[in-house]
Amino acid sequence: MFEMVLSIFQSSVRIMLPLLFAAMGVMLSAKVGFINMSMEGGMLGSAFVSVAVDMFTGSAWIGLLGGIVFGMVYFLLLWVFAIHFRGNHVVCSLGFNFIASGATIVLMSAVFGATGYSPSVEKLPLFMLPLFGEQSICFFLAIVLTFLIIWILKNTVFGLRIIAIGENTSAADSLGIPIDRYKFYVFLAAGVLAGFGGSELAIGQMGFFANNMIASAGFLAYSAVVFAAFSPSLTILTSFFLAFFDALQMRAQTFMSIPSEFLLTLPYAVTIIALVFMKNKKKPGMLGKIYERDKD
Amino acid sequence: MEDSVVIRMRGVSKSFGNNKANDNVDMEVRKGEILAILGENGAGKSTLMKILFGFYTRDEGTVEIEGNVMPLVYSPRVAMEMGLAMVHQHFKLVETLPVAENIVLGAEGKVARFVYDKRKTREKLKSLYDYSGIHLNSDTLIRDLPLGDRQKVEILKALFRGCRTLILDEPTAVLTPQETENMFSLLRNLREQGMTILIITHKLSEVLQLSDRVLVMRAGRVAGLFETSHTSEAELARTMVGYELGSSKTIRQSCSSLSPTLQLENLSTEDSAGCNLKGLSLSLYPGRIVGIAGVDGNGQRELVEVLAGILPLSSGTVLLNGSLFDMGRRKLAESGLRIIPEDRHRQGLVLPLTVQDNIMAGYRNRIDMRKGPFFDIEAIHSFTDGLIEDFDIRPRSRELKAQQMSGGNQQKIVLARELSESDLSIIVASQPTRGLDVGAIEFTHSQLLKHKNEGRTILLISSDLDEIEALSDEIAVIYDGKITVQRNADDFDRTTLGLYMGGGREDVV
Repeated sequence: MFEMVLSIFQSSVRIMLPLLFAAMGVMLSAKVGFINMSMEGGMLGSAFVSVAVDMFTGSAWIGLLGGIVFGMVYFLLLWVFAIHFRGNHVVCSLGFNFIASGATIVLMSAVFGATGYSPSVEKLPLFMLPLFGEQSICFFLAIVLTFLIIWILKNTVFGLRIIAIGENTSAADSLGIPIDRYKFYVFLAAGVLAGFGGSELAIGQMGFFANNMIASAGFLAYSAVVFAAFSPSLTILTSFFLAFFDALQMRAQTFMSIPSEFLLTLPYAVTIIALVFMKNKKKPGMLGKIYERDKD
Repeated sequence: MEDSVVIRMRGVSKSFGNNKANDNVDMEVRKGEILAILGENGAGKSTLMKILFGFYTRDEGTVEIEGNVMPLVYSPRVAMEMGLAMVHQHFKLVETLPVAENIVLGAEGKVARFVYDKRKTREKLKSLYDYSGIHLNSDTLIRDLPLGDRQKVEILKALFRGCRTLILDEPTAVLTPQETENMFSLLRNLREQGMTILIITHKLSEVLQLSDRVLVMRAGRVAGLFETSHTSEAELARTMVGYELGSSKTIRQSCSSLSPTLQLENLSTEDSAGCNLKGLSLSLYPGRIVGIAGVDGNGQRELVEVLAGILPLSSGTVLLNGSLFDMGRRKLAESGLRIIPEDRHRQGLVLPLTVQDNIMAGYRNRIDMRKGPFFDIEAIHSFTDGLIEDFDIRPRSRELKAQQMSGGNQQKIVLARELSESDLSIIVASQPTRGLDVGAIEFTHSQLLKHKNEGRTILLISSDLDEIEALSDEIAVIYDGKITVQRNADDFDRTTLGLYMGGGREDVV
């Protein structure tokens, strides 16, 4: 019994890692008022690039770096459309997701000469930990990054300004804070987080790339943030919570005679129920709104 | 003794399209004075301040701040660095953050470099609180503060940045009388400490209470400059509103022997984002025009929205021909009330649709326009063509889009639609001639007078006093969501009207 609980816990943590990276990206974006539905595409692209770079260089570390660089480029382009040109947040986000999903399928055969799955590549270093079991280096990086983000939001001028922008862009603007530039920094950070998330899944856990391998973790991350009422520290808990239900359904498939399709819906059903109760509480005032100056 | 001048604006002009918002304006501000800038809505006082603060770029003229000649284009940031600060009518505060963070936001450099220490900030703010005489709790969230205190936070923000000249845009618009009193003693206190203060307002009493000098603006120009101690409420009112008289006039008739068609009693609303009605009472009579005078934003729009059935009442009763009318269930439109809305582009017309479609809006279900389940195109065409002829809409085409027509002809489309139905009994005309040329103004006025003579009940809301005086049998003045006075139009002169519009009370007049 204890064995089983422990193993469900350990796989929950593994599932949680990409989810947590994504959720931190979503949360940071929300703090400057951006509805980030694009962690999905960012992570998918990063996963692809990290595997490809890993394969050609033979180094998982350089693969990770490639994934991060891709994530940054992806979100910089998104910044151009959604912030600089004042595009609709959800439309831009989803559009980028579609591009990422389509492009990885097309490039799959060009780069890996395969369809569906890439060849296996070298994985990031793994560590055998007490309690947490086998985890990649990203386990530690996730802890460090998460607490760094929470600390920055709470204790720095940068964090104060980010929160002010997301709550009342026009107030921040009237005080001479360069709005779009701060959003640019946040998009960069979201890109780095997408890079970590995608790479962790591809070369931290799987060791290969598969079509659509992110499997909605980017969207689940959005739910985790709303569920946490946009609180950075609660996001850790809600991410784990959703990951736990995913792990639970995987295990349940093996020893329960419930149809697997039903169990697959478990994390999503939990998400929907949770969101009904949260009702987008405490969301930043300017979330999803397009800011134009001079509308006094 | 010559006071030193901190701000000097000379020959400043600014146009928006064809509208000259500022026309050759000169202004000098002396160090350590409170200068009031008085004028009606649209007189150009906010534009002037926004030019000074760098929000707008002037077309012509020079601006000097503390002896520095300002370039044609500069940003508010530059103005702030020159010691200016502006408190906007709509506060620019982050409601979910505490007082302290709102004060330092954007100027954190004075307390922190990268790491922001909340406790240290609060220590530093203590001296600011002492210096200004404003004592607020640093940790209170803005959303928990009353409006008066929020304004104090705005002033603290300005002081924290080391501002030497403070510009306040209609600072008392959202304050209660007590908060206003409070604010004034605070401003006087700041003046004692050497602060220069510019205050934009249209309230006469405030000007007299607070300022050292008054600059009166009218229609984009400076209409007068007074030492407050050498002027009176009456003189200021006359300077603020007096223009030359209009041409088409009503033959004034008394309402005293008539029983009202529509009686509004103690109407109050709660759901408007602007100025809610606060116990508005008004009577309208058949064959008479009642004009509502008042500075914009005192509840005019809300009154129209209530009559249209858009804005729900929180209390008050409406009597139609002497019997109670349930506003919650029915619409006055069913009883022949028609509205000429103030904004014809947004409320009066669907600009991308044709003249015919705009005229037909609301008539589509009329049985004589139908042939079974279909439109009777022939009938619609002849109906529209008839109205185009009657209302002299040019060019005479039902297929043109409304947006291709001139403003005057657009208004005629609205008039044609609203004033042509046989059950028409009450007309609510809100700013019916705003932005129209002389010919269209004449036409609109003659339409209103025609319907008056045919015995219809007319409510005219206008910020143009000439129009009100020329057309009304009775005049009512709206101020802060209430009708402060309703009397025979002959009983008013410009000065009295100005006084009432500025919030003056019976005993002052």
